[in-house]
Amino acid sequence: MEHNPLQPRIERLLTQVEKPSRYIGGETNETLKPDASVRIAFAYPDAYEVGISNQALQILYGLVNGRTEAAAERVYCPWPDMADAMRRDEVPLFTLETWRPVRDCDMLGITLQAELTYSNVLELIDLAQIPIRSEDRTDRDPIILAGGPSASNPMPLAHFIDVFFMGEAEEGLERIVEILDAVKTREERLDRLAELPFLYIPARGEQPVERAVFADFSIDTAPRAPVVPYASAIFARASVEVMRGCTRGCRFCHAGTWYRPVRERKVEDVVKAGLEQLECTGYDELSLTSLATSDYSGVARAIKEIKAVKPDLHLSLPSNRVDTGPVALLAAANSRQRSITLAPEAATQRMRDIICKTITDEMIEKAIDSAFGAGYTSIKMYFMLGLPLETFEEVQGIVDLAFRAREIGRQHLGEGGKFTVHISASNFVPKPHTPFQWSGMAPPDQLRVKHDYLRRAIHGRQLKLSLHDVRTSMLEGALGRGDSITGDAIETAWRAGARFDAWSEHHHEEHWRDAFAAAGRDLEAEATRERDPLDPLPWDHVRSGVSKEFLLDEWWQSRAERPTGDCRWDGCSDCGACVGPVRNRLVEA
Amino acid sequence: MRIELRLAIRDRARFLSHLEMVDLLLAAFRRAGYEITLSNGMRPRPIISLALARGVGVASEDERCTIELVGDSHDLDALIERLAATCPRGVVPLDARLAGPKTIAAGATYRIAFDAPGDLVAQAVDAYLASAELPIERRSPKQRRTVDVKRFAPEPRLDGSAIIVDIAILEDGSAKPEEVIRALASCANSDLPSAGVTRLAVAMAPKPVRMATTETT
Repeated sequence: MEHNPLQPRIERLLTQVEKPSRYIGGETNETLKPDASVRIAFAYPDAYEVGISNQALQILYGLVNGRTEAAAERVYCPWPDMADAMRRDEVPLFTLETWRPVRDCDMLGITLQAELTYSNVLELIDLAQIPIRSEDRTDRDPIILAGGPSASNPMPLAHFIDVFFMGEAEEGLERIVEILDAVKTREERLDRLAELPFLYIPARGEQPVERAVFADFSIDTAPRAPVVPYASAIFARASVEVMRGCTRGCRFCHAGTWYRPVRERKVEDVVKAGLEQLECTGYDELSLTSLATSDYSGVARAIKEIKAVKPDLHLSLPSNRVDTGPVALLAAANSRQRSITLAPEAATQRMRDIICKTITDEMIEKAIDSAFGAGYTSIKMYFMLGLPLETFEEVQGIVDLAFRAREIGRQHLGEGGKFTVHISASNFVPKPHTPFQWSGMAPPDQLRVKHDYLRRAIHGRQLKLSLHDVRTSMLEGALGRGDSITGDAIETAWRAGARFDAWSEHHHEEHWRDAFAAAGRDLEAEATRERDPLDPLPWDHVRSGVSKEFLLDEWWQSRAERPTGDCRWDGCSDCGACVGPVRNRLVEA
Repeated sequence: MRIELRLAIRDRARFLSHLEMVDLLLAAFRRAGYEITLSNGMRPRPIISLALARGVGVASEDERCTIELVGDSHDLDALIERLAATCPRGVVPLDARLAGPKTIAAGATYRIAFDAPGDLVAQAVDAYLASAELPIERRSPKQRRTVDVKRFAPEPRLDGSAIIVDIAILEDGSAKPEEVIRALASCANSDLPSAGVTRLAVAMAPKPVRMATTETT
């Protein structure tokens, strides 16, 4: 192999840092394409163990390497010990596959999965020795493209990203590779990229940009050979995306708007892809993923067919709904698992009507009862606090449901039975492109009072409570609906030392508070501010496909405490997402 | 069928930890089409062990793994061939044989290269050999203790500008290659930056049989 002058310098660093396997690459199913004419570095702005588990990046990596002439390589945000050592020794950010500098690639593609990774986006760019602001970059620098769900409001990062990809990248990425191959100067590339309707290029002004929808998801083959991470990854299992999109219409849910309409993959392909992945990864667990896998109309058949081939396989079905028989499904999928997760999100009927979570108390209790009856000994239930129109009744409702679940558990397993009811409450954060995009977050003091109440009320035998940190939720809220001035605050916070904000040990609230103040803003005011539906929003030029009128109507429906039906079964609600060949595609209608 | 596999760990793969190596081998065996025997009990685990933990960053030409496979008629040459295709970069299966009676690691031989002039290394080795004892402080997050490196690694020998050293594993412990380097540096009264450590061989010994003792009062 060609001599790489960075190699001895990187190896020296690896002897000094925690978990050097984060930086070595060479995992099973990694792809090397030394003669490729275009090199793309795909980056996840968090640690290796988080980023390698991201399914979207695995899909894009396989797609570019498998279907185009370009080489895709990977990079994750170096942990602070490594980042500091790299700066000290002037080692530029490098890709895992070839240990070549990221700045020598044609494109750096960053996935934005969460707002709390924004400081790491700047960290990655700076470690790559690329100017932080787009306007300072030259022909020597790669094009920096960002995609993923958080790109749906591109404005907070508009100073730093050259090109934003809106929506699903499967088809558009191939066109981008063609352009990178065809033209080589920065300006020419940006000119050509600006012709693609799903790309937003801040330097070219706020032109309307359309979300790309992968209409052929249902007939496209699922990835067969994902990169197998080293042991430290948070998810180490084969996974097949069985369905994209969800039309349940939960009013807080960003993915519920951003990935419409529903497209289901054929059961035959799910089974084949799952079995092939197991073979070429060596995993002993398979996950059937989607936004709500129990809604996948082929789920029972897929489980049956997979179990027929591999009866002892650990099959996991994340993201199950209370009302579509998750207990029976999980029991069929996996006889070893003893814990089940349910997501009622709200504990009272009134609040579930407000957020459009169309389940009843009876359904929840039935699911809990079935779970204990099927032998599960740990039930985890997710709730949100601080939802719009929330009253104290809703908080008390969580307490009541926790005790009701314990009571049901005791009916099955006895007063002193060995089981756990785990209540997890997160803080509502309004997201762009949702009916709640105009709502403010609950003030932090109010959230803390509710947390204290839950801590006092939910304790004792068989009960467990976990609560999300209010400080990081506030930051998420302030960044998620931010504008370009928010971008200035991000840069100031990062320069002050902000990075890895999703990790409590690295989150420094004061950096962010000061940075927002320096930008003339108050962090909490930004997060809690209710928006006037008549006022323009920073992301108005991004067309998600779902009309603003529909979102506004849903916002009003929430105030009337009226849920809206799911268009898969209850008729079209005219959201605007279905256009031409883009429409709901179910395998078993 | 209990198999003893010998592997080389080269290049970047030397930065994998002990636990990562175990997981990686399990997956490589599964990809190669072998089913691994699970232990009995409430939480069955695949039966696999590595003879001697390897420090992160240390390469190896003699990594020994004992694994129990389901079935008793596996062709060992075919196993090596299939594993070679399923191990990640830098992890190279060398040979496999049926495992005999249980053994434990009694010591290992290392080659340590230095990023320092050869005569400085030679001086350090001379001073090392002349020392009666070489106490080195071992720090861990939980404790600090002093290890006499000379007791475990009495005779490093020059190999060009590198050294070859046998490190014994005794009942009360062992020394690490990194501690031998620190001991040499203290002998040379100078920094002796390492340019790479490779484990060349592992010495195995029969596993002592523990006798049940009965106390009478």
